[in-house]
Amino acid sequence: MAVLEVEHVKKVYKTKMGIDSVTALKDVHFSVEKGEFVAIMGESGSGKTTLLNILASLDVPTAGKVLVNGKDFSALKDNERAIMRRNNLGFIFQDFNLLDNFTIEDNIKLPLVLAGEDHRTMDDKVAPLVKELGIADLIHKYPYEVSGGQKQRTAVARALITKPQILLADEPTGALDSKAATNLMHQLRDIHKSGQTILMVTHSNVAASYADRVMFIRDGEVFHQIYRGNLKRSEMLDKICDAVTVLMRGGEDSE
Amino acid sequence: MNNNLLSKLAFTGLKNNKKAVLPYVLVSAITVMVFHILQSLIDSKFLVNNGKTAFYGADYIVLFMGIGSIAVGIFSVIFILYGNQFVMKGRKKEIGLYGVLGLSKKDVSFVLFIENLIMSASAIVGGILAGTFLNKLMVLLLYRIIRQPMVKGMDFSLRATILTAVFFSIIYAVCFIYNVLTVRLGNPITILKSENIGEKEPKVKYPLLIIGVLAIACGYFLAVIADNTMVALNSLFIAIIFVTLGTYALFIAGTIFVLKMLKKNKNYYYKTKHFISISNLMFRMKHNAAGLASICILSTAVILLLVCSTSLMMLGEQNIDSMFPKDVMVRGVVNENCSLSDADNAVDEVLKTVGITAQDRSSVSFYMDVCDVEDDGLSVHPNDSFDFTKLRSIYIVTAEQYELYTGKQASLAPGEIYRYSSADDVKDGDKIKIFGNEYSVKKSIDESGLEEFFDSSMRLFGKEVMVVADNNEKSAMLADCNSEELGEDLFYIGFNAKDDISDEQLQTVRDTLSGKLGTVMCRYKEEERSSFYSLYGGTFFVGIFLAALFLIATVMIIFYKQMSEGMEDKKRFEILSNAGLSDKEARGVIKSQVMLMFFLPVCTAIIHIIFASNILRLFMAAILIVDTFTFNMAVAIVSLVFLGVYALVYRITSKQYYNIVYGEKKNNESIKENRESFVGNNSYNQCGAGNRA
Repeated sequence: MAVLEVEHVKKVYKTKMGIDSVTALKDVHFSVEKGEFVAIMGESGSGKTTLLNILASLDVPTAGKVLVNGKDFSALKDNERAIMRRNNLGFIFQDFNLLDNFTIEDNIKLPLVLAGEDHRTMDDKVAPLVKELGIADLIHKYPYEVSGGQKQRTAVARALITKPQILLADEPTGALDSKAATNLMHQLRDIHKSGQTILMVTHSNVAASYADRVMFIRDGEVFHQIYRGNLKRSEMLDKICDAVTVLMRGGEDSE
Repeated sequence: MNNNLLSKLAFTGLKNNKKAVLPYVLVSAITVMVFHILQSLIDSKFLVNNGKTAFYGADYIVLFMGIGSIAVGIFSVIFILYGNQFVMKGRKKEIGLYGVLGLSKKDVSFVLFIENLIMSASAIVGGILAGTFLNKLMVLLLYRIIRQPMVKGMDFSLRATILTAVFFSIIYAVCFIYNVLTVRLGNPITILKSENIGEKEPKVKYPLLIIGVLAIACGYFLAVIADNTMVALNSLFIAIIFVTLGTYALFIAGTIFVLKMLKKNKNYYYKTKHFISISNLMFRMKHNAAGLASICILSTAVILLLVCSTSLMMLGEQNIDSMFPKDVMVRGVVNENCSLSDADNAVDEVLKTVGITAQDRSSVSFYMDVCDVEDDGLSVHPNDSFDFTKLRSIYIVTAEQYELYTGKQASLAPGEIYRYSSADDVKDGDKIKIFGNEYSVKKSIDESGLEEFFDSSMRLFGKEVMVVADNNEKSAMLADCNSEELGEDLFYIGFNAKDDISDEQLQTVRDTLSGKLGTVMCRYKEEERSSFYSLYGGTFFVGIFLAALFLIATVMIIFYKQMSEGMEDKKRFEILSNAGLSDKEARGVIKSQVMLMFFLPVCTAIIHIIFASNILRLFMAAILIVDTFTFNMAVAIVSLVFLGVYALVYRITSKQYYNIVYGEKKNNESIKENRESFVGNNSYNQCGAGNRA
């Protein structure tokens, strides 16, 4: 069953007075199955961020629908959407988005607190997760005291603590060095193996090569898709690189 | 570099920062206006015209205006420097960018110069214009407060205008120099980079916490235990210092302590509202505790000032009536050349000649002295003693005079007295030692009918009235006193005048009486009333001005605090929103947080005032008779009004804060603004490049 369905989503930004309009997404149509790991790739300005914002219900599409578990939440009110968001989605951002005045532990607990959970059950949820992500020793530290990789793992823990339907990741390796990035991608793969649906937006060919399926977006449309099938990661990486090259050539031709 | 372009840059710079610039200019203009009004009133022909005072006591008012304007001047220096610093803080990034884009420091200084010139010119010109037009209104207000008939005509003081312009220009020049120095000393990259570096959670400073608790406790204790004016005079300033110290210490250490305690309580802490607020507040308090404490102290000062001025005005009539039970009161010394009957005759005679009809005439002679109160009675107050805490004024009157004066029967044997005491509880049959001799109190008498005895300049101290059998008894009572002591036999004659007494009549009465009777004090109620209102009306007027100015300063500090905190919290709430904090919840959190930051200082201020009201009342009693009820009413009214105004400010500024932090509707606007400044910078870049080529 598709956990996420994106049906002909279109997004047009109007400038003030409505004279000019910019089409960020023309017609995006795809779906994500439960337990799938999908990467979305594209140049800057291809509409990736807009798409992610719409998927995250932070923005509303001009036309089309986004269904999570068959439910359309673009029709909901702001407050309900926020609640929907925290119940169904987990986020990882390029710049971590940790609150600098909370400890690592409290950052991870944040979604649970927002959900109004009892504080006694929180610790039971945090403990296995931080152990798995290897940040168990750091939980009483503040974000500025730990490395970038550790911050991102904190963000992963925060995203997963509510057991979301979908984990949305926006350039998760963007601010990390290659070692920390590889580390993080291994962890995401492990998380995926345990059954988590992941949707990741990225620039990085290497990061995308961990996914089951890579979608390429150009000029607001899904331009190309690659399925892993039984390929090894290195073979997948080659395929992605080829596709990126084609994508770039296409970009040049169209100029 | 093209100056035209630089000026344009200055204009856009101001426009883009209008939220910070406008309040600054407005507050500065108000300060200029207040200063100008006070200064012009000094020159006003409605107060002093060609060296002649327009009414009795106008010279006091001129003096108060002078003192007031000095105070305003000092505060305006502080406000303007603070406001300037805030405005500059917001502009640092932009200025850093100018540097990166290739503007020389000279060019940046030029831009700053243009900006400062615009801001200062609009504040000074605006303030002086407003001051000139409001001047007349202020004269009318002042005349109303001091109960003078209205006057016609405008007046304008060139001296005040020049003084104001020069004074504020100097302040702005200092600001400009400060701004240029910050630009010159910093390099573009450091100015540009204003990213927050992570910081440690604040620790509770236990020594400070203990000092704070002790200081507040001491201050409050001193304020509460004060039971007479002398104690109040001695301990008020110590109490103020203690409380100020304690306020700062408690705001800095106490708030963190409470928040830490709350955080330890997991049941409380892990709730949406508390979770976010406590952590935010903890860091915010770390930076703002001293600022909030200052707001608290400023608010306390405003309320204090207003309470004093208001109660002065509210108690005015009551005071005049109690100080002057009769329209005209004549006091003088009884000696071998002048007996009470001599004085009576002289008064009758002069009244007849000048044509004043006296009513309710009364006259009495008594002995007046000061004494110290001891455990077993009253003793002589040593001349070289400056310990006034036990001091009381004592009036000794013979039974004969007492009967004549009050119309009440008195029959006393030697060794017996009637006693009235304003401080002690007197019971019939008490034994009391007076100047070494023991007396038994035959009867306790009350104050009624005795008021006219009392010398209003001795109001500060307790009063004792002793009625003795006759003159021999009186001499016996005073036998053991030393000759060097202060006491004298005095006469008092008081009456109400049927018609108003003119200045000339009064002068004649005064001259005649002093010619016949030696040194005589002759006071006329209407004259005293006028001088009372001039004196206290003047203080009230200046007090209101100062209070208004403090309030404006408080508002400005709060507004700027809200704005800078809004910027800091913006990112935080974005993250929270991503994590699923709904708009409604965010509103709730923001509201409770802002409310706390806002009302903590003012509530503390009001608590201070409540504790201070006792000592303050006693302190005020040094200059006038203070009725507890009226005074407490004044405290309540002023506190409520202040709270109301403060709440209004809260509503306005919290809206601003909310717009900055969470204004989705405002987002478009800010995008537009960014784009504008971006375009501005671009044109800059090109011109910089052109210049280099």
